[in-house]
Amino acid sequence: MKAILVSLFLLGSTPEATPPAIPPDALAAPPVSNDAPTAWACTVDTLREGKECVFESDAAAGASSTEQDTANRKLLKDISRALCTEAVGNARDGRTDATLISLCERRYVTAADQCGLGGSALIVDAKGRFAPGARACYRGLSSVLQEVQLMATVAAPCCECAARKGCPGAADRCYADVSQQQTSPATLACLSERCEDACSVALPSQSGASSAPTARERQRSSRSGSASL
Amino acid sequence: MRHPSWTLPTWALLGSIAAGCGASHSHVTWTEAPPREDAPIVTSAPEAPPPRASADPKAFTARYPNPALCEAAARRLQAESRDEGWAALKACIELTPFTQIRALLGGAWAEDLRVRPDAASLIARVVAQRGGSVSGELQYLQERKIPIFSLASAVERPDTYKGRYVMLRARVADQRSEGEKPTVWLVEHTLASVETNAPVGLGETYDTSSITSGDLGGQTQLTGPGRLGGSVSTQERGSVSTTRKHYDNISDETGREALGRLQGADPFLEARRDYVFLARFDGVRLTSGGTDDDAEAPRIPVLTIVSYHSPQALVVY
Repeated sequence: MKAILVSLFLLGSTPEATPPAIPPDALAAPPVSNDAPTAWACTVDTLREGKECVFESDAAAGASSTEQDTANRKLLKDISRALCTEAVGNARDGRTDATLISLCERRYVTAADQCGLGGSALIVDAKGRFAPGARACYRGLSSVLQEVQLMATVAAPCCECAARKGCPGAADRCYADVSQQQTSPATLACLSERCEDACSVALPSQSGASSAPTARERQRSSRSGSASL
Repeated sequence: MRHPSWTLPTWALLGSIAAGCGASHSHVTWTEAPPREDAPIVTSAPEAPPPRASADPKAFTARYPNPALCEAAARRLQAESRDEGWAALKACIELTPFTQIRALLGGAWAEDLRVRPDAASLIARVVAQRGGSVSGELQYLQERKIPIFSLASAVERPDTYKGRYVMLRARVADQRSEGEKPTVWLVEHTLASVETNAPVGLGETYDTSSITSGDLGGQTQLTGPGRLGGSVSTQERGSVSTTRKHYDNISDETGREALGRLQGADPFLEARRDYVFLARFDGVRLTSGGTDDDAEAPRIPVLTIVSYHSPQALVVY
């Protein structure tokens, strides 16, 4: 009896004939996905250049820690000077502007405060790719750099002149106000009087003189006819 | 050609029948058979066997006047060897204008389509050769339970379709590379029918203008002397032509976009040209554009491109 049981056990334990393996690319094979980041990942380079990108990285999420949160924010704050200097330099054809760089850094550091990710993951992986959860952080930093580039392009020459000529509302406030066309009447009067050339782009155009014809005027002038008798 | 064994004289056949008869009746002996005469042997060389599709696919397909007969021959070969049959089918699809998707998805090839690693690409190629109307073809594939899906389905339920095959008609809009691995930005397209009126035969255009002028002078007792003059100008322009309605397929954007990984840089994959892509769906990723709210942020599907095929201009329905 024991011999029969042992035989049955052995029979049961013999490996069954395995079906031929299906190649992974076959339609009947199980789904295969690739979670590796692509060449469109958001990086410090895409942040600098303002390019469209997608959030994907190799950084694995882990347990939250205060140290990681602090390290994430510090990492991005450490590159603030380099990013701001480049953003201003690019917009001003290589010229530097200490006031604007300082303004940029202050705003950038404030924006970087939301980049800790609660310490749950590395903000960027080994190849500099932003983590999928870093979208708000990335957009905050990107927004600062874009605004500073706008200020450098539109307001910098005007605000430099305003500072030299002692106009009110100069320095940091001037950059923001002029680029958004929210300059106070007193500053505006000073700019148009003392910095007309430098602020020509930023100052509102004079109303009245040499204005374009209105739609009604154009319509009237195109209507014509003649009769003879 | 005559095979040597087919040249036996008639008596040999009769002898065999006699032997059979002897077996059943036992009254004929073999020693009584007449002496055998040597038949003339044809010494021409034996004909070469038909080319094997696996060895010479071009020669195999050249034997058949159309793709349907080529596929039928491949099916016959399948009975002898599955591998040889599959090689023959591939030759028919890759070397002839093969558009018989129903034959490909028929029962004869079902098992091969299930387990061959190149089956999905072969289906994509046939879809391209049929004009690349992917949305219509996918419906048929799904009726036959072929697990190749649309990009739209995958984007709607990423978890369900992750890792599965998707097929789309798309154009390359942009490309970025990280090392040797480029990723292209794809813009999905679809074929849409557009109605136009095309002139047929002779047309007629007419242009008429006339000016009539007059001058009348005289006097009346009431008004005294006076003159009345004026002119009337008329102009008429028109055309008469016969037109016929034409329906053309144009490629139009669907509004969906995707990122497609390539194995390496590929100069043949040109920008701004339509292709039928077969790819694995790798899920969706958040993009940097759109609104600040992550929940409403735009997501883009990521694909691993398996193969791509240039669609034919004529669509087969």
